[in-house]
Order: sequence, then C-alpha cells, then structure tokens
Amino acid sequence: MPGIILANCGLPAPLCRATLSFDAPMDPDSMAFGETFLTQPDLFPARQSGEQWGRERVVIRFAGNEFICEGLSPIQADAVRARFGDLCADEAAEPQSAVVLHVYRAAATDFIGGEDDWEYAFDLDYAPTAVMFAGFHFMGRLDWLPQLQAAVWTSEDRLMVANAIFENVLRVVAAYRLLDGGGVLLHSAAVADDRGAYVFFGPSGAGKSTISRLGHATGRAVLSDDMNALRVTPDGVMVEQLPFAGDFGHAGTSATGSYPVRNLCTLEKGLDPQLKPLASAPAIAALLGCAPFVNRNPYRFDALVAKLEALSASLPVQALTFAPDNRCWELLRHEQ
Amino acid sequence: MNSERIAPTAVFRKCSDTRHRNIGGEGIVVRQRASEVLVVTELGARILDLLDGSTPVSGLVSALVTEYDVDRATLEGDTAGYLRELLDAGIIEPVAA
Repeated sequence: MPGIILANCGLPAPLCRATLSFDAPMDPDSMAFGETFLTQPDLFPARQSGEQWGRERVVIRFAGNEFICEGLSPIQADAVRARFGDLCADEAAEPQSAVVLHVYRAAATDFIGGEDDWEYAFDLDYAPTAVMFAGFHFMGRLDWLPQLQAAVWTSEDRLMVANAIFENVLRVVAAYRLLDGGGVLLHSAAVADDRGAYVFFGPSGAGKSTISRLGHATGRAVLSDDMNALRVTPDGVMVEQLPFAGDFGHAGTSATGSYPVRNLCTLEKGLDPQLKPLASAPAIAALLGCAPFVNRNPYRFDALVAKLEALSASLPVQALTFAPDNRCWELLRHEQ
Repeated sequence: MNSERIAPTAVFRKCSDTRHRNIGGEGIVVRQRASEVLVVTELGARILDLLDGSTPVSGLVSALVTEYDVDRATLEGDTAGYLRELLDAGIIEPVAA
C-alpha cells in the first residue's frame, strides 16, 4: 500500500505540507502569548474596557459590513479617514448589526521595544468566545457577547495608522466578521474583466502581486493583490474588495464592489501556463492555508472548513501555473 | 524517520492541536500550532477517526481488517508504518501506559 500522506497538493512526496498564512508559526517551546510584545502579558485585559483616546468616531464600510471605530483621538480619526477614504462615514447605516471597535489608551511601558524594533507580526491566542492578539505597541481582543465586538489598546496616537496597528486589527476583525456572516477572507489576488473575476490564492511569494500587475497591464481591474472576501450566494461565488493591499498597493487597485468569480485558483510560478483541477481535499487544504487569522483557531475550525467546503462545491478549485507573461489570461479565457 | 518498532499494545492519540476532517474520500489534517495543513488518504483519515486514546494498535488493526480487503499480517505491518508516519509528522502522540 502507498503511504497515507498524499503529495497531491503540489508539494514533494511523501508529506504534503502547506504552511498556513499570516499567523506566525507558534512553536510549542517558544514564548507564551504576548511575551514578545508585552511587558506584563499576564495583565492582558480580561474584558473590553479602558480609557478612550478621545471622543471621535469613524464608521468604515466594506464587503457589506460596517465597523464603528469608537474612542479615537482627533489625530487617529483623521489618519483613519485619510487611510480608508471613501469607505468612511460618520454614522452607521445599520448600527445594530455593525461591529464596534473600541480604541483605548495604553501606557508605553506596557509594551516591549522602541521605534527601531518595529515589526508587523503579532501573536494570536484563542478561547471559545474570544480571540486575543498582541503586537508591537498594541494589544486587542475580539469577544462574542454574543455579537462580535472588538477592542484595541495602544500607546500610539500619531503612529496608530501609519505603523499599521489599526489595519492589522481591522484585518483580524474583518476575517471573523466575514466568517460569522458566511464568507471567507482569503489571502488572494482578485483580477476582473468583462467575464467576471479570477481569484488567485497562495502564500506569500506564490505570485499574487505578480499576476495582479500582469492583469493590470492588460487592462484588467485589480480588486486587491492581498486579501479579498469570498461568499457563496444563490448566484454563485462572489468576490468583494477589501481595503487591504500587498506589494501592488492601493493606488493600482482599480475595481470596487463585488464580482462573480469565474476561476478560483491556487497559484504557482512556472515556465508554461497550465490549469489543472484540484481534488476536494487538496483544494480545502489549500484554501485553509490561505484563510489567515481564523485558520489556527481551534474553536472555528469546523465553521471554517464548512465554509470552504461550500465554496469548493460551488466553484471547483484549480491549480494555475503561470509564467510572467500574458499567456495565462488566454488560458483562463478559453477555459470553461 | 524514527525506525523504533511500534508495539501492538501501544496506544496513540491525536495531538491536542490536531484537527481533521474527511473530505471526498481523503482527509485534511491541520496542525494548528505548527501552522501546517496536510492531506491524508482515506485510510489515514480512518486511522485518525479510530484513535480514541485508549484503543491499542492491535485494536485498530482489528477494526481495519473488517473494512479493507487485506490480510491481517499485511495490515499490521502497514498500520504500524502509517502510525510511524503520523508520529513523525507530529499529528499523533503516544499515550503513556
């Protein structure tokens, strides 16, 4: 009999391993949650309370959700409005269903490291009804009370947005909000033309930004080269733009709203373009690896896999090998 | 790979950070702490289903021999090999006697 661990998700035999995205690998022998970033991790807030930075509020809308950011200082609020632009509003259209994100002040002495030590990775920890996270000069938590609510404590006023604290928090909040609402945040590039959208997913280095540039250069619209929201609807799988971009950046994105997904592909660089179907299990495994922030949460595993199964059942996943030229578009265009 | 023999009386369980699901005749296994996702065959998924932390290897073989058209001696050898593979991948761990 052959070995039981298959090699059919694109990696060498006998082990098929795909590193999950974004969440920093957590070695069992490594430091406990928060010890890299917090001076007193055992004093991590047990509930959402604290001293607000100010009285400013900004509502951010995307992918059918509203996020009410409360307690911002004027400097923080201006920076959030500058960063998220047209997605911002002063009031929520449906406050009952919006996610509230409280921004609280924390002392600089709560955190380890100065400006020169800045890093974007952060720790995540999980409980049945909560997710905790700690990063450089911030800590936060999500609680289901039972509705999702979020809080972030930071010592940064002027740099809260510039140093991506706010965006990192919003990415985590958005991932869980989408999962609660029947969608999935996928580490992916989404490119659209007159026939619909192509969603390419894979870990960092797979080619998401490259294929986004290729698509953009040929007149296709780019939703994001980093993170997109996918939902299964009665009309098929839809992809919605999220305000998070990778190397391709925000300036190059030229599409808004949602698009029907025509192809959902893992991505691999190669010499010649190739498109192959993926069997169910390797497809789900590959999707799992690209569902950041939620894919290592033991309390959300079943819900996430169920969503990914529905996604894969509605739109079979393919494996695209592409070269840095435009032949892949012809292949995708002629593929049924 | 560790070549230490797996005894018929040995008992294994899934590691606490292991989650698995059977999908389309195969299985997916996530090692959440190590940030790994693996795909295993139907038999690998079945072995994971059978691992309850108390059934010895011989009990696993007894269950599998009723499900697969393989003689017991062959299945004993294969199951030991498969358990070794799962051990080496950090998916299962021995239960202390």
